Amino acid sequence: MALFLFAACWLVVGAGLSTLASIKLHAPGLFASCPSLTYGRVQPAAWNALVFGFAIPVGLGVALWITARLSGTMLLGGRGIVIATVFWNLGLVIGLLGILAGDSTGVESLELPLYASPILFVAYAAVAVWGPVTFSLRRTPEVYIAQWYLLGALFLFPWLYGAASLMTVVAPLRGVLQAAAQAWFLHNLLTVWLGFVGLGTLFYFIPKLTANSVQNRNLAIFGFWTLALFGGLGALQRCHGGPFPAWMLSLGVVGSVLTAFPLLAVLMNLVPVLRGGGGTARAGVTLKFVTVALAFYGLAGFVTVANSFTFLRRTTQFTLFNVALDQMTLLGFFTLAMLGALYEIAPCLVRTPWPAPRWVKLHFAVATLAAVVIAVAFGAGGVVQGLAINDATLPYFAVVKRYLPFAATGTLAWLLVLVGALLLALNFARLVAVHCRQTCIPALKGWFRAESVPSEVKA
Amino acid sequence: MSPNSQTPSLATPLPAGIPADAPEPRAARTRYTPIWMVAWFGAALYWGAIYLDQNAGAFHPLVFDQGDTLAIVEARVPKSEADALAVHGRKVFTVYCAACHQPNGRGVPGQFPPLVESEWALAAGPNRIIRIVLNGLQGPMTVKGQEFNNVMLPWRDQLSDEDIAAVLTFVRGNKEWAHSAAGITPAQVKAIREATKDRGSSWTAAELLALPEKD
Amino acid sequence: MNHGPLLFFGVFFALTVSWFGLVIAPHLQFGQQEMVVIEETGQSYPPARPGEARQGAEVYHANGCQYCHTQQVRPRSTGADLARGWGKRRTVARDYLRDQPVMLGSVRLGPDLANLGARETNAHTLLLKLYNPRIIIPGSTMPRYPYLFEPRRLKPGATPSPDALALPPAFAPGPNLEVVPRPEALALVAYLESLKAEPLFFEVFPSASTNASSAR
Repeated sequence: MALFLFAACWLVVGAGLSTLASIKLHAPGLFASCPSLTYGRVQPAAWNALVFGFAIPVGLGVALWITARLSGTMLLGGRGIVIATVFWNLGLVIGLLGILAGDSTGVESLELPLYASPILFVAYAAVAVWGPVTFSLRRTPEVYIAQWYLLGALFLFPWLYGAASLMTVVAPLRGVLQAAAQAWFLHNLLTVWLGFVGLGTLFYFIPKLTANSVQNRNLAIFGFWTLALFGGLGALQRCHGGPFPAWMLSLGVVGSVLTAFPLLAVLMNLVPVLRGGGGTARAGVTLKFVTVALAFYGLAGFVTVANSFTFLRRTTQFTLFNVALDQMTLLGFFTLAMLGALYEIAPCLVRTPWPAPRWVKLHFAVATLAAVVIAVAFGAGGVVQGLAINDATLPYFAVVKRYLPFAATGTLAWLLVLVGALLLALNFARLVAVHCRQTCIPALKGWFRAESVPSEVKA
Repeated sequence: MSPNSQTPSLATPLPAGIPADAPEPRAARTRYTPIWMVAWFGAALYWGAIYLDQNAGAFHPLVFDQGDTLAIVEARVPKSEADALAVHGRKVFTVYCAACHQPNGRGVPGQFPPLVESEWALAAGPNRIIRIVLNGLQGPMTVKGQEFNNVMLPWRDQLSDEDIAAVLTFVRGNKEWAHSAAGITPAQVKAIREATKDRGSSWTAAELLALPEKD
Repeated sequence: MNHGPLLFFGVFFALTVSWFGLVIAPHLQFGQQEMVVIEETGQSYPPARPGEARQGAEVYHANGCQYCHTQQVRPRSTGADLARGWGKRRTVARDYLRDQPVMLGSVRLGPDLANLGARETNAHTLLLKLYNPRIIIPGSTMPRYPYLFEPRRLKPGATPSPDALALPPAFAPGPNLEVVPRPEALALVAYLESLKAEPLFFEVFPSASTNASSAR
């Protein structure tokens, strides 16, 4: 629960920062004298807030909840998780302030300074370890598809983050090997970690909410292992044209193209489940969230596969197009899936319904719209920008003029995300307030009256 | 979203509206991965292998452009004329010069002068050094501060212009000796051969020093 | 079947494949790559950056310049980088041997900087651009960095200090004020001026069919 609470706050912060960053793209004079707010510092701060503040905690929270549900047991380590979450957030705040003060490590996606990242690492381990522990105590013999994905993700992150930080910041590798390690980290984070957690969530909620089951377990096994294998290998197609030996880039292309297969496997498994659903009363906002999330996953996946081919990549490299792809995964697929899960899980944890269900629907509309706007605006803008970059007769200023309208539209999208985040945060606050009024205060009164109080497990 | 008012029996709560004893939907095990997908996957792996074969430059770290091979990269390195001469010159040196000047070019102290970092070999111009090889040298001579007094045989009749140009280019530009002086062309050798064709005897150091290093 | 350990080791193995293939194998292959001696000059490449330039690199990443600018030149087959005059040749791994961190950049909201030191040799222009990019390119969207400079009071009639920026009237801070770059700005400009990737060596000689000459 604590995880979700903080995650919601960070979504607001991250969205706010991203809006600011986006505004600075086309109105650079804003706040220019303040060194902490220059684009080069706000942009990484925003990204880190979104990923480390929102995406990872909410992913952890959902993963742990689903693991407990599928294991049929109680989630262990409740207090420890809360304490670790507090430390995680503390570390993140310190790290973000560090970035804004200029202490960024200079490695994209690993910008949190060295005085903050170990805190995050330890806090993550302290939280994530309860997942496998709970799983090992499970009462059900079956290992669900969602379970593999989630456990895989839980195992993956410490090693991913640890190895990447080690190789780029703590004991940096020489030369471009650093950049290779960073690309490996970023790609694995987005494709494999977010992919596993998001897919695990989809595989749990879609069958559950439509009361159908996934038809083909063997296909799901195939999809899982191919994603684990090829998802990471595709990392270096991010560096197309870069100073890497040809074999690394070629390996990236092959790996990335082969991720078409896990994508197909997932779609082939989940789309029939959705189709077969047929108007159950239970299908609420969450089902809409996860359906759109699946759609984004499919779209982002196909475009990534197409984008790996060099004849397309030469136009889209270094443009907003790749930003659009990453955001399709982060904002479109992952955030929507997590929001859907969040809106479903949180009321259960506090046994209180959402005080403002209309806001939930509004958030869905806003979040979907935001993701669509970013995908379209940055996608089109990226193509325009890429074509202009490759036209040597255009001075660079003309290139900037061409992509600027698209970048400005991105601001609109981030504003929408901010609005949605505020809706979520406010709803959440009210939910907690209602819950506290219902449970905590009688409990407190009970303490004063020296009665026994059932302890709540807060996850 | 429908409110959930019941207290579920499981410790971890259930989503709204689902009865407490509903099992999780299990995936059916009846179907297998469709054969067409496996076939396409195999085809994709095959394509991947061919792609790597064509574009990965045999996994060599110095091949950067996709589609290049090491041979192509190597072929682009410009081979100056001096390079080709130096390769030939090394052979000439080993056969004719190494006996006295030693294979490492350092000569024998007191007997044969060194070529490594020798101010005679690395002079700005080729005038003196070509004459030495063509007609030989005798008498006292100072090389790198050391005194020598010996006889070097003439090679006018044994070595052609190309050979002399090659071996002098090799000596002057040998990276192993940290030399990077300019090479010498066969034309230069020929010109000096013409100019000295009537000289029958070998040179002395004093006579050579009287000549300018280059024209 | 005991799924827990199977899952753990299976996932670990699958992910190790990508780690090994993309990070460890290259490290084993060319992690010990050394500097190369350029034939024409006898200098080793890449050269060590002077101290001021190294501090400038820290200013560069503290201000996040790599989020808009890249520092890599793509080959002719992959983009118009060479045609735009962003370099005489593509960049390769050896160019970044001495960089820490390696700031390749991933989005080009602004032009590439790999050879900025070769293109723009006037340090004063770079200082002006950092102070306010609109001086050099009107309408530019690059943020300005006034905090890298400090305005100083100038006694009326006194000559401005030699470091002061020669600002056009529209951007001048006001009467009796001059703008002097702080050490961070000077370090950053020193770093930018050191960004050159021109020497040719084994793996980057251009092919004869391109019109780029190989002479230095």
